[in-house]
Parts: sequence; structure tokens; C-alpha cells
Amino acid sequence: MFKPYSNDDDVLNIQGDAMTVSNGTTRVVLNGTLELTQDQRGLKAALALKQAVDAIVAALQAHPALPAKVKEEPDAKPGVVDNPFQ
Amino acid sequence: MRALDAILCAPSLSTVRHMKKWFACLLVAFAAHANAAPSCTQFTPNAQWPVLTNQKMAAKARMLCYSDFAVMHSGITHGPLWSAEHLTRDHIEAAKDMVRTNKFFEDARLPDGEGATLADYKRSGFDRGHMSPAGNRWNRDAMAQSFSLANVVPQNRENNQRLWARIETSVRKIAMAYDDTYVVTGPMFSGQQLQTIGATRVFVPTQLFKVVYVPSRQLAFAVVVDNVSTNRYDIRTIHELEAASGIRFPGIPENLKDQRPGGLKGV
Repeated sequence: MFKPYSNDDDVLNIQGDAMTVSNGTTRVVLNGTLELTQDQRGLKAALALKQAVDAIVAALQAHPALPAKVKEEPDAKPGVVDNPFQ
Repeated sequence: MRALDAILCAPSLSTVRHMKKWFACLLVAFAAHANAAPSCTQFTPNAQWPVLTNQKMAAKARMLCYSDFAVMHSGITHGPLWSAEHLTRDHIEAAKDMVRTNKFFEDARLPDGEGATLADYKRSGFDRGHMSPAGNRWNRDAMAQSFSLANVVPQNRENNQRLWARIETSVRKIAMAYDDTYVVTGPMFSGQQLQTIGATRVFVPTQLFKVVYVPSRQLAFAVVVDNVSTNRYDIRTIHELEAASGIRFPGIPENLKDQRPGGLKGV
């Protein structure tokens, strides 16, 4: 079960990885191209996407104090090592 | 073979159905340890695994078998050195229908400190880029297992989401067209210094490669991309990739290792 904004480690895969919905505590990211054909396969994918988006909307609407814009936390600065394989 | 100092079988994600496979796998692991031959060889052509020719890469290298792919993990880079898979038309067809919520995880089979942690990737600025892709996994356990951090590297976000996704799609098309296809995907680490992420200091690859071998077409080539936001990919011969990566591919016939096809369709 995909629970939006509950963790940083879930990924909902739809049609393999044609579309991924990546969970995050500050953002949920949708990536990819979904072909919704007029068949059972298309319906299955459309329902999965709808469920995910419905859950996102519900989570946002249920938030007690939804800010106008989330506070961005900067990425950590990468470290540096000497390449041991050279 | 020194590099294969551990042979570990796929974790059992669901219980009853997999108990038999799990025990069988343990037995294979013990037997294999005795004569230093790896298990799960069905994912590599002619049952011959890639070989680390750069001996500096062999330290703390451990092989991990998953249910439909295999990884050579490095306790030095804290990620995979290669990830091998065998694609078929039927499996790709099944993979296209998969809908599943997956979870990135730390593989408990790795000794403490060798694997990357979930915390390493948090706010690292990098994607957890799959080597053997989730989109090629043809059953639920295999798809779940592909989210092992042992199968991912810190990958530039735009690269992962755009260029790399198109390359993966293109390789799937090859498997759909020609059926049996062997693919090895991995990172390359070039230059005097490397970037790292997180407290574990997970190495950020400078390039990524994919080796594609289609026995029925006598076709073998490699794709190389820089681990940056780019739309550029380079087609290399297998011999060129072997020289650049420090990894040899003995399962691919030598007489096919100097081909250089024009490019990938749709990339």
C-alpha cells in the first residue's frame, strides 16, 4: 500500500517502470510515460495511478497546517575520496 | 577465484512457497563454496560470470544471487560492481504488466559497513539508480528484490529519469525482438578522485555501462554514459569496455567483442 508522504523509500511501479511514483516525506515524484490502452491492461494501470493520486490529494487535504510552499532542505555536500581502483 | 569469497542466495520474501527454493539455494551455496563456483549461473551466458581483471576491485567483492538477477557487490564502493540479468520475451511481457509498491532496502546478507544505507541516499542529491532495472523484473519477488541497495548506485537524477530510462526501454525492445538477451549493467570509477555520499561514503560512479549480448543474432556491444545530466551515450565494443571498466566478460565469444552497432533505437 502506497502511503504518500509517509517515508522516503517506497516506489509505486506501474507497468514495470513505465511510470514510477516515488514517495518522500516532503514530496512525491511521478516519473515516466504511461500508455493507457483501451483494454484490461490500460484499466489496471489507470486505476493504480488514480489510487495513488487520490491518496496524495487526501493526504494533502488532511494536513492540519499545509504551508503555501514547503521549506526546501538543501542537499548534503558530497564527500571526496582518492580513487582506490586507479 | 578470490573475488567470489562469498556466495549468497536470494532472501526469501514470502514464506511457504519459497522455503524449498531457499533450502536448495543454501545447499548450492555450500557446495559452491567448496569448489568456488558461483550459483545462479542461469543469468549469465555460458554460465560464465564477469571477471574483475582490475585486482584492486576484487577486495571485499561479494556475489549476491537474487531471484532473477545477480550482483557483484563491493564493500569498497558500497554498491554493485556489476548486475547481471537474462531477459526473455515472456519475462519482459510479464514485467510490463507489473503494478507493485516496492521499498528500497539494505541487504542483510552483507557484513556491517559494506553495504550502503538508506540514510546515505537521503538528501544526497542523487537518485538510487537501479542497475538491473525494476522494469525488467517479471514477478513480484524479483521486483521487490531489485530495490536492494546492493543493486543501485548514486545516479544523476536527470540522467536516471531521462537518458537512462530510454536506454533501458531500448534494451527491452531488443529482448522483445530477439528473445534471449544477456545484460550486465554497472558503474565505472575513473579519475584520481571520486565523490561520495552519506556517512558510509558510497562512491558516486563517473560513468555507467550496459553490456548487451544476443546469442541468436551474434550481437554484442556496450553502452556508456557519463553520470551527469546528459542526453549523450556512446556505443563501445566489448573489448573497449573490458579495457575501460576492469571487468572481463568471458561468457561472450571473443569473436563478437569488436562489433560497434550504430546506436540504439529510440534513445
